[in-house]
Amino acid sequence: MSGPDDDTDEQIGEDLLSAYRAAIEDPPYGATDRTLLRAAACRDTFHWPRATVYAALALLVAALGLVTLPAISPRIDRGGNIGRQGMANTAFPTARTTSNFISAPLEAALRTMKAGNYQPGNRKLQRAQTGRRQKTYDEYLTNAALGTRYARENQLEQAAVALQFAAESQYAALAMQVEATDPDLYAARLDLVRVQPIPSSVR
Amino acid sequence: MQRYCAGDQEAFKLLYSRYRAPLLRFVTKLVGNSDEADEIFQEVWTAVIRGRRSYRPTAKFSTYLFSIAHRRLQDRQRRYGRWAAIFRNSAPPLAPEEFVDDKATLPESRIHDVQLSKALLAAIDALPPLQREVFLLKAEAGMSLEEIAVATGSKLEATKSRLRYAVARLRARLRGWT
Repeated sequence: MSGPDDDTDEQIGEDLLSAYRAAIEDPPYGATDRTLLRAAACRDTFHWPRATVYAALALLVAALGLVTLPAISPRIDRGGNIGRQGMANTAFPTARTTSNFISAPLEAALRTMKAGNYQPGNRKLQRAQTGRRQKTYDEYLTNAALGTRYARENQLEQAAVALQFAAESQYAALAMQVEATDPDLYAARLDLVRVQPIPSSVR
Repeated sequence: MQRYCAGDQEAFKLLYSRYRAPLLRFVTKLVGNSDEADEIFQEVWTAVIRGRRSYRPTAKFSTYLFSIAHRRLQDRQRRYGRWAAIFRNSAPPLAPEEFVDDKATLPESRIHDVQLSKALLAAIDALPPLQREVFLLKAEAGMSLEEIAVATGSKLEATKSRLRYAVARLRARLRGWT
């Protein structure tokens, strides 16, 4: 075999490489080979491209959103009665109809504000909020929607409970505060809670 | 490979039949354990099959295939901590008389060739892992030094050195045969 110094870069050990190639044998085919060939064949079958799957999922989510959004958008007015007349439901029970449910601090705050004493009412509202468990915006929407649904189905007791929870939410308290201080900010409340606008005839 | 990417199943069979034996020998001689070698062999081909849709022919298929094998072997190395844990340790050189087969009935020259082959394979097994890898890539895949450097993620000069050292060691071990 030739010496190392005689080899160029590409000829390095060419004699040994040839000897090696002459010395080796091909391993026989076995189960592993069959498995791999089968796996390669299966990959040729159609499968949904990833983009199509993602697009379909996005459409499904959007469709679900379109279906559920109207259902969870509560119809709210200032009326104290819970009825089946569409917009006659309220997410903000007044003291007259909900005094049995709303806790004392919140009721006192509402009463104060409705009497026109906005600053004291606001302070009472803040005390009421800090004293209560803060609920999430989603919880508010859910309870408001449930209250709306129960009211439509004339399940008044359930509606009152759901609306109580909604009223206890910091978001409802904020909305009530805005409504109590300035009726012209009603639209702002709608933005806050994302509800559908109530016809002026119902208010 | 491009034909396989386009859906030609026969193209894969052709690729497989062409590279199956070199890859299996390459992995087996580096790992030593036939079960582990089989596992790595499957992983490499599975990676080829799965990567069919994203395959881009930027290099020869042999470079691509053995690059995958090299990375799988490196993964094993990281898992076990050291090359020596999964690669066979260097063995002392074997003298020619250790390859004598008393039952051989072949002509003497043929006996010599068989024994030399065994000695060569044993000497390759005795090489340090990195040198062994480079030698086997050259021998099994027929790759150029540049391609080996790409497949192993090394510099060209380092690859060249490893091959030269491997050849020098092999010649030293086989000195008794010449």
